[in-house]
Amino acid sequence: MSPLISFIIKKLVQYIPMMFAVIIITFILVNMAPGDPTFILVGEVGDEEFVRAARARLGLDKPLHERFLIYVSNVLKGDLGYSYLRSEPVAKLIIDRIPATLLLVLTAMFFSALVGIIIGTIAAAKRGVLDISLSTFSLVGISIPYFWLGQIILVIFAVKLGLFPLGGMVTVGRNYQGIDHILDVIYHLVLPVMTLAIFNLAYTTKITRGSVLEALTQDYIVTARSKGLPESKVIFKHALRNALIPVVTYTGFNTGVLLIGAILTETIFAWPGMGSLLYDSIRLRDYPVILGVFIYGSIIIIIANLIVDILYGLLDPRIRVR
Amino acid sequence: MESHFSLKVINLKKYFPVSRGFFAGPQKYVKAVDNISFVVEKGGTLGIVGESGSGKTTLARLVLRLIEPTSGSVYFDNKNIFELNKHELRRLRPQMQMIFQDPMASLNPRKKVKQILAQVLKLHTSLSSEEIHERILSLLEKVGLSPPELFLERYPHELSGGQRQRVCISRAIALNPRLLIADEPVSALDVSVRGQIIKLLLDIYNESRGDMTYIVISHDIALIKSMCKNTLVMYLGRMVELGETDRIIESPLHPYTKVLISAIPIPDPESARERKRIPITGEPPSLIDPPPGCHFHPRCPYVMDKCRTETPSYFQVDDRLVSCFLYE
Amino acid sequence: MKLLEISNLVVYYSTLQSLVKAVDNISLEVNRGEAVAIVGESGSGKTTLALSIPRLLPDNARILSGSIQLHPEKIDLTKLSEKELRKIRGGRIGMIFQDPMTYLNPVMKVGDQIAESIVHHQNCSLKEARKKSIELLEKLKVPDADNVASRYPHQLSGGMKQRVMISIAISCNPELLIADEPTTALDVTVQAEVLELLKNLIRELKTALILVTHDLGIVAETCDRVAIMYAGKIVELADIYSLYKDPKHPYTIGLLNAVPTIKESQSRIHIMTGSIPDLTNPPPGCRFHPRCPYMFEKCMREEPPLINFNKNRYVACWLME
Repeated sequence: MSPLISFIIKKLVQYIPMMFAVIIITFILVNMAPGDPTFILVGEVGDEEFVRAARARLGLDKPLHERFLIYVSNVLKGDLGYSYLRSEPVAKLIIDRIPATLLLVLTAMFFSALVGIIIGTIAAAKRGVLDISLSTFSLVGISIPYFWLGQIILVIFAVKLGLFPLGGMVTVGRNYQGIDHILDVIYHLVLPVMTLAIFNLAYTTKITRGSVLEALTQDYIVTARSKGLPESKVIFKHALRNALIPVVTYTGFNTGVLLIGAILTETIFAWPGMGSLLYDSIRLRDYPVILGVFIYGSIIIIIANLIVDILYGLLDPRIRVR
Repeated sequence: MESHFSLKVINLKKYFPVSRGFFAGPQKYVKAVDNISFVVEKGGTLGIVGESGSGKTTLARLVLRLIEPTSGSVYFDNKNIFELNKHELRRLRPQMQMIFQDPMASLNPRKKVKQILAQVLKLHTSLSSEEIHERILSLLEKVGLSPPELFLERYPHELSGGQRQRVCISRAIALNPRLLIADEPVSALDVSVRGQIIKLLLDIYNESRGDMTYIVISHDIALIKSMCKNTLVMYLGRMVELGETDRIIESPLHPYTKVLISAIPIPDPESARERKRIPITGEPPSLIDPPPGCHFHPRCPYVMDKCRTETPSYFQVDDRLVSCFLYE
Repeated sequence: MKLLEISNLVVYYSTLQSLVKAVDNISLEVNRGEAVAIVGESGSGKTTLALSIPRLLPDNARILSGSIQLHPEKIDLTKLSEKELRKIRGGRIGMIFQDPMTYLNPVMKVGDQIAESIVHHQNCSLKEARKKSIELLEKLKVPDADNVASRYPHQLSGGMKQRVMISIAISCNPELLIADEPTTALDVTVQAEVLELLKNLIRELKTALILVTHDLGIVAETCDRVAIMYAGKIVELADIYSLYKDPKHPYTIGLLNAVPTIKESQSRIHIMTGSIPDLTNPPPGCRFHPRCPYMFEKCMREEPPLINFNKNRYVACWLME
C-alpha cells in the first residue's frame, strides 16, 4: 500500500467518531429547537385527529431516543429520509444543490487564497505606506459581516449600477447552451463570490503577511541572502514556501466558515445551493433536510481537512507521511 | 545512617518506545541507557562523558529517579530508590540535587531570587522565616553573590548568565545534599565566566569534606578532568570505558575514547599541528537503529569481524573497565 | 597580497531604548589565502564584524563609518549598491553559519540549495548545477552524495548539514570564506572532521578564511593570525604562534587559561572575575579594566589604542606602553 493511501485511510478512520458526534449533536440541537413541523404542514388550527395522523406519518409520535436510533440506522444504510415538505428524498435534494454551492465556495476560496497570498506577501516585503494601507484594508475586510456586505454589494453593483444580475445562477428564460451558458453562470457568480471572498481574502492577507514577516526573520533567509540572491527570490522562493504552512492550515479550517458564509450569501443572491436550501428548511422546520445538509456539510469539511493534511506533506517535508 | 554511603547503579536500562505509523511494524525502542552499572564511593567524583545522543542526561535523570527505568536498580544509602514509595522518595529528594545546563530555563522567570530559594527551604525544612532569610543570605554569600542583599530582590532576567548559574547552585546546595549531579554546568556560559563556576563547584565539593558525592555530565572531557577523579565514557546508551580520568586521558583504551580524546582541540598551535589525529569515518549512527554488535564498529579504525555481530562485555585492564574485544 | 581591508569600521545597533556600539572603530586586514580568526565571547562584536563584510546585518544595525575594501579593485563594500553587492555575496565571498539546522531552508532539498547558488552566479543550467553540487558534496567526503543531494535538511545529521553549508559557501570558488562559529553546534568528533575538511579546502582552493569563534582551541589548529575582540574592540592581534606562546593583553591571557584543557592539571584554571560589560553603557577608559588584575589609574580614564609593538603584533593595553 502506498504511504499516501495508508495515510488517507488512517485519517478517515480518525474521522469516524467525529462523524458520529456531528450526527448526535445536530440531531439533538435540531429537535430541541422551538417549533413543530406538523403545524407548518397542517396549519396552526388543524383538526386534532389530522395532526395526530400527520405526526404518525412523519414518525414524530415516537419518543426522541427511538427516533434517533431509527435515524442513525437509516443514515448508516445511506438513507437520509424524505423531506417533510417537498416529498423528495433528502439525498437527492441535497445532491442536486451541491454543485452550485461547491462552485461558489471553491471559486471564493481559490480567489481569496490566491489574491490574499500575493497581497500579503507584498505587504510583508514592502512595508511602509503600502503595507499600512493593505493592512487597513484587511482589517476592514475581516470586520464586515457577510449579510450586510452582501446587501451593500447587491444595492451598488446590481441595483444602482446595473452591472450584474440581482440573483440566481442563470438568466431565467434564456436557455443558453455551451460556452454561453458558462459565461452566463460566471456573470451571475461575480457578486456572490465577491461577498463570500472578502472576509477570507482579508484574513488570508493578514495571515500571509504575518507569516512571511516571521519567515523573513529566520536564519535560512540570511543564508539565501548570503548566496547573493535578489530579494524577490529570497521572498518568493525561500520565505513564502515556509510561510504558506499556516496559510494552508487557515484555509482548511476556514472551509466551515465559508460554508456558513455561503448560507447567507446564497440567500441574499438567490443562489440555488445547499445554503439557500438549508435556510428554507430551517424556516419551515424540515428536520430531515436540515440534518442532511449538516451531514453533507461535515463531509465536505472533512474532505477539506484531508486535502490540507496532504498539502502539508507537500509543503513541509518534515511532516511528510512516513 | 551515615555508615557506608555510596551510589551503586546496577544494570540500569531505559528504553523509550518510538512512536510509529498506523500500519507500521513491530514496536521499536530507543535504548537511551542500555545496561549500565557503576559505583561511586561516598565523597567520590564521577564524570560522565559522551556526545549528543549518548544517553548521559537520561542516565542522570534515572539516578535521581526523575524518570522511571525500564529495569535495573540504583542504590543510594543502601536503598534501591526505585523501590521507595512516594513518601520515602520525597524525604530523600533533598539529599539528591541537580544543576542543569541552562540556568535561565531552570529558574522560574516570575520569581525573585529570594523566593526561589525560600521555596526550597520552606518545602523541606521547618525553619522560621527569619532563619530562612538568614540561610538565604549565607547561601548567596557562599556562591559568590555578594553582597547578598543586592541579589535578593532580583528576577532571573536581571542577572547575568554566570550569576543565574550561581543562583541555581545555591538552590541545589541549600539543603546540604549528599549527591550533586551537574549536567553540563558551564556549557551555556561565556568562556571567561566558566572558570568562576568550575571553581565554585570545586570549592563547594572541597568544603563538604567528603560528605558530598559529585557526578558531572559533560561532552567536554577537559571539564571533567578538572572536577572528577573517575570517568565513565558513554556511546549510544552504552558504557564503553570506566576508570580514572587522568589515566583515560593519558592512555585511552577503547577506540571511541581514543578518537574522542584525539578530537579535542588543543589551544596550542605547535602541539595541535604535530598531533596525529585518529581518523574517524562516518556519522554517529541513529539511536533508533543502532548498528548490531559493538555500536561503534562502523566508525572504528580497529574493527574486527566479531565486532559486527557480537556485543562486547566488559574487560578489566588494570583498574579500568573497557567494552572492546581488543582487550579480551 | 591584500584581499580585504577593514578600516575604522563602526557598527551600531539601535534598540528601542538605546544605541549599542557592537563594533567600535575596528581595522583589520586579511591577505589572500590567509586564515584569520576573530575570537571573542558573546557581545564582543565578532559576529557583527563578520556579517558587516557582506552586509548581511539585521535591519536594526547600521554601518556608521569606516570602510571595507575588497582588493585588488579596492571596492568599498560599505558603499556598494545592493545589486553590485549581490554579485560578491556567494560569488567572491562565501558564508558558513553556526547552526546548519536553522541556516538551511527546511523545505528545500539540500542539493537544490547548493545548485541555486551555482545557477545564480555561474549562469549555467539547473541540470549542470545539480551535477556540480553533487561533485562538491563528494569533495567534502559526503558518502552517497547523489542520494544526500535529494534529501531535506532534517534527514541529515549535523555534520552532514554543515558539509552542505560549506558546499554552498564554496560553490563559486570564493576568494574569501567567512565562517561564523562553524562547528559550535557539532559534537567533538564531528567537529574535528569538519575542521579538517575546512582546513584542507582553503589550502586547496587558496581561499582566505575569516573564522569567527569563541574557542581558542579550534583556532590553534586552523588559523594563521588571531584578532581577540572584547566589547566591540580588538584588544590583541597577533600571529598564532606568538599569541599562544606569549599572550600580551590581560584578557587574552585570561581567555587562554579560562577553561580547563586535557593537557593541564587541575590547579591551572585561571579565574577571570566579573562578567561581560553591557554594551549600551560600556565602562570608560579600557573596557576590560573592571575585570583586569593589572588595572591601574590610567586604564579607568583613557582608552588604550591598538599599538604595533613588534612585527605583526598589536595590543591595546597601557601595560605595553
